[in-house]
This record gives sequence, structure tokens and C-alpha cells, in this order.
Amino acid sequence: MHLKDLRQAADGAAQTLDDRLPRVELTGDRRLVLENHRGVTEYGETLVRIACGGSEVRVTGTGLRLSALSLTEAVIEGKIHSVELGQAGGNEPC
Amino acid sequence: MLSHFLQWAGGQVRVRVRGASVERFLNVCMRGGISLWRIERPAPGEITARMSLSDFRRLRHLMGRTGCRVHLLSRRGGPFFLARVRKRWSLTAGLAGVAVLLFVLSNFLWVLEICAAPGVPVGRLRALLRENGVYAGAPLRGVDVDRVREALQTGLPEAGVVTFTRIGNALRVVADRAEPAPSMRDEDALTGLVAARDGVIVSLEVTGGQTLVKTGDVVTQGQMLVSPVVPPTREGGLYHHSPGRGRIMARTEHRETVLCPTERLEKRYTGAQKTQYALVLGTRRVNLYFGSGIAGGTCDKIVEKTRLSIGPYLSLPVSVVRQTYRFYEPVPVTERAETAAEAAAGRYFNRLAQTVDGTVGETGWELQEEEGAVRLTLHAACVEQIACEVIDETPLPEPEPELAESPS
Repeated sequence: MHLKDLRQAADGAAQTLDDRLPRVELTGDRRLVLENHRGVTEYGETLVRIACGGSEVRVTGTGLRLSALSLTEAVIEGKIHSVELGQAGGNEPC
Repeated sequence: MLSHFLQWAGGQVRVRVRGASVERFLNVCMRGGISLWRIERPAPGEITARMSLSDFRRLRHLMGRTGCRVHLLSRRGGPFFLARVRKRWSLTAGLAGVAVLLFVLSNFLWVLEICAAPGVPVGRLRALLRENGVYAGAPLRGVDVDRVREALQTGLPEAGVVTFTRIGNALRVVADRAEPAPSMRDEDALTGLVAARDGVIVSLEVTGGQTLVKTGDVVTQGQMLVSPVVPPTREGGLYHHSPGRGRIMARTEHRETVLCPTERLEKRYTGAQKTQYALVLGTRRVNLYFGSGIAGGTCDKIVEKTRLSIGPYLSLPVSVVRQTYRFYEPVPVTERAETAAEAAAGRYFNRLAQTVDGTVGETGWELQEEEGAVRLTLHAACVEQIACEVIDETPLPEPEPELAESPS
């Protein structure tokens, strides 16, 4: 592969990684950090739904709690069973 | 730690939020730039959370949009603390004074720990450090580690690598011993190998010179084992020099006679104990007891020094010294001859195993009891390396003159 091709591939990868896209960081099954979100759609002990633009992050587990919430970050702690990324559900964040 | 302190200094409140849609409350806070933490949900439709005091003040303007009721549960932090103490000026002034004093003290070096390897003169090291501004009570900004290191390299040749580790206002100086320059070996010097002690040759590994002995030979101390004069290997060849090199293992015997006392004094503690305290403020010591620190009678003196500090980074120039005296009586004890002999023999054979270049085999001893002591004759059979290099400048033999052809 020529150097020119490598450079083009790297530039293309950089353009697709938009800083505004939601980012999920999971530590074990105890802590989840979500960046670039649009608000809390649902907050319960076993289900937390957070809107991320056109998609939604669903976190299921037990003892879930929002340990921190700011304009850019949301931190969910507890016993996390699953994390799903899907299309935004019927309810939009109010 | 600093961020926690700043958070506390700005003030925090803990609130309880109740309403039909707490999610709405969370989103309104989020969009309004209000950060929440330690959000808990004790019941459906109810959450508790912490926020900064400034954010709580801004929340008031957003309350109408949340659709929830907010109750203040607790408040803590700098503003609330100051409000409580604002009428107690002396306490406030005292606290401020202590804070200023701690800040001033944190700019000085109060703990100087010096760890020097054996062979490095600690007194001279301490004097050199003091000359270059490193001593207890010195201002931290005047401590130039690079300059001190250069001064030690020139002024303390016994020290090798010197490391400085500073944690807060405590400095630890570790000085390793300088490695001596290795002795240069003259590869061209004419050397032979002689026996360092009497023995019977067990094995030979000769890499240079002419071997004069073989396995099984009995050799005496000083006997030449490998000569640098090598005879010709072919007819008409010449003698030449080759430095003697190699390792020669031999079976040797070590003997030593020692005198071990069987009577000794043993400490028997009486149970009596005395404790004294002293304070060290900077470099001045203040005794909190009357009299001297020298206790009469026979005792063990144990000194413990505890330096006061605030956290791991701020050491104060205050130390508490505790001196404990445990009194005992020396009681004469007579040991059995066999016990004393075993202990002495063990020490000797351990030392021999560490010093001999080989292995220690069969060992034994004979003891002879005397008045208050036991005379011990120790012997050990070893297999060790006995070849020792010596300078040997033996000249090469003159070549034999060729016989003239007889006329036919």
C-alpha cells in the first residue's frame, strides 16, 4: 500500500470520528459514562434511557442510579446487565 | 484532593426533588448548565442530589419549568462555615493565623533523611549538603538539586549515584557507594600459576601456559602448576612464552583451633520501666522531664521519634521524642560445652563456605574442655580452586646448536 493511500485512509478515519457523537465508556459491570447526550428519557432502578440525538442508549440492570449528570456527561452506576444502542423510542426527553 | 477542597469552599447543597417527572427536572438542570452528582432515587417520583451553591441559586429561576418541588436537605461548605463563625472573630482570626502559619511552614524543608551506603562518609555528606543549602529549616526554593549533585560528585568521590526524592517538604537523599575502578589486567605480562595451598589435584582447566601437574598429583603451597614457558611442539620448533591461565581444583583441608567461652552474662529484665518525653521544635530540643537522659543502672534505652505532619505532603518542624528505659540484671549463665562448640563450629563452617572458591565437604571438630571455656579444633575437607597468578619472567631456554655435518 502506498504512503499516499495510507494518508488518505487516515484522513478519512479522522473525518468519520466526529467529536459530537455519543461516546460510551463501560467499566466492568459497575459504571458507565456517557458523553454527548441529549437528556434523560427514563430513569428507574432497573432501566435508564438516555437520548443521544437520533439514537438512544438503554441501560438495564439492578440498583441503577445516575451518580452524576451534566450538560455533556452522564454517569450511571450500579449492577449493569446490558447496554443497548438503538433508535430513539417513542418518548423524547422532556 | 484540591478539587474536593475547591468544591467544599464554594459550598454545596443536598436537595430532594419530588414530582411526576423527575426526568424533566434532570433535563432542565442539564440544559441549564447545572451539574448534579450523587443522584439517588429513594422512591419512585423522588430523587436526592447534590449541587453547588451557585447552581442552586440558578435553579430557582428554572423551578417553574421543572414541574417538581425541591426541598433543601442539607448545606455545607465554605460560605456556610463562614456564616456560622462570622461573629466569633477570635476563632476566625486564630484559624486564619494557623492557615497562614502552615502555609509559611510548608515553604521550608523540615525533614531531611539521609541514607548512605557503607563506605560513604555520612558526616562529610551532611556537611556538603549543608554547604549547598540542603538542611532542616532551609527554604525549599533555595534547594537546587542539580547544583547539589554536582557538588557531591566533586567533593565526595566515595559516593556513586546520589538520588534526591522530595515529597512535600521532606527530602530523602540516597547515596550509593562508588564502584572502584576495575584493576587493569596486563595481557602481555608473563604469569604462571602456583598453588595457593596444599592439596591433591582433582581437575584442571588450563587455557594458557604449560601444565606441569596432572590429576591426582599432590601439590604444596607455592608449587608451580602452570609455567609460561611452553616447549616446542614439533621437531625443530622453538620455546615460546604464553601467560599461564586457568582454574585448577584440588582437594584441600582446612584446620583451625578456637577458644569458646562457656560462661556468659544474660539479660534478665526486672519489669521496671521508665518513660521520658521531649519535644523537638525545628532544631531545638525541649525536655519534658527533669534530670538527664542518662539512666542509672543497667537498662536498654529505646528512643522513638515521631514527626508531626498534616497529610503526606506537609511535615511540621515538630517532633515528639519518647525515651523508654527497660531495666535488667546481668545474670551469669553457664552453657554446656557441646552447645557452645556447636554454635562456634556452625559459624566457622558458614564463614568458610562463603570464602572458599569451591565446595565444603566433610566437616568435623574435637573439643577439649578447659576452665570456663572449650578449646575447639575444627577441620573441613574442601574442593576448591587453588591456582594463583604470579609474575614469572623465566627466560626461554637457548636453542640447541645444530650439529655440523661430518665430512664424508
